Amino acid sequence: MLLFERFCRRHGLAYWEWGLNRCVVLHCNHYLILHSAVVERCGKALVLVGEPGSGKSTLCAALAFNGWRLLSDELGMLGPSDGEFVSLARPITLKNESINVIQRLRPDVEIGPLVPGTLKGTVGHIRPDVNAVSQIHQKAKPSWFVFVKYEQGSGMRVDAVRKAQAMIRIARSAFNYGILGLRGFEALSEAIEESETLSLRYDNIEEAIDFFNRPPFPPVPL
Amino acid sequence: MSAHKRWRLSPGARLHWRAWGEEYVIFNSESGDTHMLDSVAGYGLACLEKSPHDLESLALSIGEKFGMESGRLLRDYIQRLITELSSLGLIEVHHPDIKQSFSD
Repeated sequence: MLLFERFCRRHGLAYWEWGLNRCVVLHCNHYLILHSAVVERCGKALVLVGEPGSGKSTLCAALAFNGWRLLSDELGMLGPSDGEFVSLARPITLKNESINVIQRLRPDVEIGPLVPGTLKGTVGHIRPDVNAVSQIHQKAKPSWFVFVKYEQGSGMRVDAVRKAQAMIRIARSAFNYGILGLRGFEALSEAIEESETLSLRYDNIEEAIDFFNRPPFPPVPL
Repeated sequence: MSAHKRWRLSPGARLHWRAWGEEYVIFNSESGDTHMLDSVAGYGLACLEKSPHDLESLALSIGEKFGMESGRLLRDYIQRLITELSSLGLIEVHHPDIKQSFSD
């Protein structure tokens, strides 16, 4: 089986990170693995869902350095037995303009060597906050599923998403929903039952951060 | 489609339901497929899960439940629903005289 196409040595860092994701997806079927980014506050998980390029990793990085704790980027790991998300707390992979957005927003954030010219353009990896790593064993209850879409000139708009539609969309984009069968259905439907389901269209990262730092979301910890 | 043909849940289907408002998400653990149905389609499938129905009896049940006037429009809707549920492998024609080769 060919796991990877040949790639340039200078792209190694990006492929290493993508390779780790692949390992998790191939071997961690004791979790339901959602294509999502997950952050936590007060034990409640905010799950950001979106197509590649939707801006979910950018928003995840922004929130992870503005009062939310990073659980995972790209792979949302939901335990079917306890219904809680576990943390991976690995570097957040950003691409192209997203790197500049986060650098402007938080100049103190550490970004690893940039890897230009990959299939996805220039890639950079953000070092997770120290609290995200030290609290890696603290799980979080699913509380919000938000379908994210960055769109230049769109302004900010939040809408409710019907739970049945949310369920179908999340199941289709999950990495191993089909493999888990009934366990996957029960885990995901229970998580959605316990959560609010929303869509967020945004074009300004600071407005988006502000939205997630106001009620109904828990207050920013002091 | 014969009006007297009766339909039933496919013997190979095992359904797990989740209802949210006017919509249902249904997991068929035999096929591994997940489906989303509106309230009328979900109720129709639930009727067929309980017992076989022909088009007329299904139209009657659905019409009563949702206050829909029986007539051509409702019959056409039921026909489309049966076709769709059948194509998803959720229901099939019921042949009472043919002994099933496996338990339901």
